Amino acid sequence: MDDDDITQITEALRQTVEADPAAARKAITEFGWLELLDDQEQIAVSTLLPIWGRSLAQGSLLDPILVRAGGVADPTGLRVVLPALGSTRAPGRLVGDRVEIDGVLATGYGPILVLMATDGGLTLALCDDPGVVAGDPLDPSAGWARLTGSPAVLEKRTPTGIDPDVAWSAMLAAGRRALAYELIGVSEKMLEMTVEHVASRHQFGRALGSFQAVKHQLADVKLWTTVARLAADAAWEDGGEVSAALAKAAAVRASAAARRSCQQLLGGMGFTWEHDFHRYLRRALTLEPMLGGGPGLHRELGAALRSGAVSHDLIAL
Amino acid sequence: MTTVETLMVPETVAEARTGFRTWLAENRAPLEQFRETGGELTEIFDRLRRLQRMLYDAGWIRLGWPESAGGLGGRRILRSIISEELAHAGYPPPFSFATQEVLGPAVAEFAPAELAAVALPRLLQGEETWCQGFSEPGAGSDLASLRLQAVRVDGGWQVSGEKVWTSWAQLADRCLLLARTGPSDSGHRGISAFLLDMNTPGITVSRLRSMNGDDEFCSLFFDNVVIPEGRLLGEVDGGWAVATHVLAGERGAAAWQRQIWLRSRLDELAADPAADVGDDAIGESLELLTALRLLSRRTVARLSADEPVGSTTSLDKLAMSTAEKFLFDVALAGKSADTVFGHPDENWRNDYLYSRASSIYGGAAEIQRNIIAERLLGLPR
Repeated sequence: MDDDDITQITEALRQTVEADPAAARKAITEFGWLELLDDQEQIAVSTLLPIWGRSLAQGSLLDPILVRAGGVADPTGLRVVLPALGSTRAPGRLVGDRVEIDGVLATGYGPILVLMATDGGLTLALCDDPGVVAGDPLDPSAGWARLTGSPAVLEKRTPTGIDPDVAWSAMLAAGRRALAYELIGVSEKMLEMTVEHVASRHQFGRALGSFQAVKHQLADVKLWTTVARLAADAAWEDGGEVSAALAKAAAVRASAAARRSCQQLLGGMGFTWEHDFHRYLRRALTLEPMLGGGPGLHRELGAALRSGAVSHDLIAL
Repeated sequence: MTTVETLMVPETVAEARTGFRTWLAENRAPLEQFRETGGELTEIFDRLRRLQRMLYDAGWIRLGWPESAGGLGGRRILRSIISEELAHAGYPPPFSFATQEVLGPAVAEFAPAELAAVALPRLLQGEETWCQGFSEPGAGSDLASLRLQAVRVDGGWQVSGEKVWTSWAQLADRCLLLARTGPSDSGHRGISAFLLDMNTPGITVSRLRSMNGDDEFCSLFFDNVVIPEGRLLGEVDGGWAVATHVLAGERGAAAWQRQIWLRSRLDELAADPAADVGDDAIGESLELLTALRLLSRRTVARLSADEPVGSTTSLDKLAMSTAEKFLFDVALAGKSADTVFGHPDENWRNDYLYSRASSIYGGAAEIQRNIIAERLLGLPR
């Protein structure tokens, strides 16, 4: 595929999602995006996920991305239990024949895949539908809920032919790249709506955007969203864990900068329910800590550097 | 030792990398002396000049420069590859590496052919060094308000005025000088650029000690200095284009060199058992250095492909000062006793103090943010 093909796909996906963000998952499935994901993960993720973020499309695309990265056979409809927000530790713990879970799960139906810590190391288990997951999520449209407890009803069925450590590390990297692109979409949209606001709204007889205090905040948001894009695109070069963690960390920095500065600059208008800003804020706050937030990623990256795992050739000329 | 005659311009980046790595390994013994970084300024300067000459004679630092400048041709990105590999192998950058990347491209672009043909090869060989006469006591962030005046006289231009914060002028053979050639209120439209010899009568160089104790800065006084014909860069009153070119170089290839050095300092800090620095601070420093690396890589690639970089280099500059100050803030917190009370290895104290200038020189962070907001986001002036 050349650049023109990618531009065309991006445009088609944009129209598909924006036509009805609440039904976008069905629409992109009909579009054939899952097949694209099978064949060309980079193109599938880097084109759709930013659109997903900026449209606040309903639900998440993480599950199909994760099960493919983990090499799970027959992945259709399978949901993956993610670590608790902000954490990257296994969400499940095997206690006797019960699985204690503290994690995050996409709302829906069907079997779930749980990474469990056992005395013998990590184990991936295929479990039955845990049933209704209660909660009061900050962003109900994101489609994520907290899953806690130790449901004894879960039946453990280990997928065959999968090394849990290898699979989980590939899933973590793929999930972080996807979340990075989604956060980039959310951040870029927040920046755009704020630039529009401060360019058109006048106070003291001047456009708000002509005040240096306003410009400087938005310049920083522009810096970090630009960096986040470059970091996400660079994460495919080696496809590794470190570059995926760097991409997610850059996206979290961009998102945090955008939500802080844009909320301040949108002022009283942005603090109303009527204004769209809070919907982006809710999505950003939900996605930022998933598969490790800023502090966790920094600890992980620091430990990686100290163990010699961060090559000088990463992001080479 | 590989000689110029046998060094072919590598076809690919990978080929250049491998070739230079092999050469470095083969010449480990004669290069050993250059690992030393201490000593008196003149000693350091002399040692780095010899390193530069050795790299020039072998042809490596002629890669990516046109033949008219004393180079061997090839894409500009090769220059960044060579400086990167040199740093990874543990050698300091030759003294005029930064000058080459900051001032060299502008002189190659704007100098009369005869001047470029003489000056650039000498710069590449390490035969001479250059300084940058931009800032004035009354023109720092507002560079376009500079007042040092150049008036037309028989046989050239006569210059009077003052420059300040000029790095290493006491060692420089030439100066890229910005002067007012238009009316006093002509702003950036009335500035011309010259490349003049520092031994021209009428120039007084006086040292200006910087707050970290370095003798890097100088003040330059020009008392009716006559610059001969043939030293004008670009057009009369067209100096702003030269200045912009210089700043693009500073934020491009020079930034790539800077982030390599910053990464080596991060590695040293992370491995220092005496430093009280957690994984989180190391990781966040790595994240910010990566931000600079990504932006700088984009700029280096664009410059190498002769694509315009425009105002995006302000992002690079802002990322550079953010990353550099963050790293040395972390080092300060983790090595506070050494910094405050002193240590035989003074580098951490010095690097911390010097890092404070990173958001001031080459256009203060406030100026970069204005440029980003106005030119990249389109906010009203």
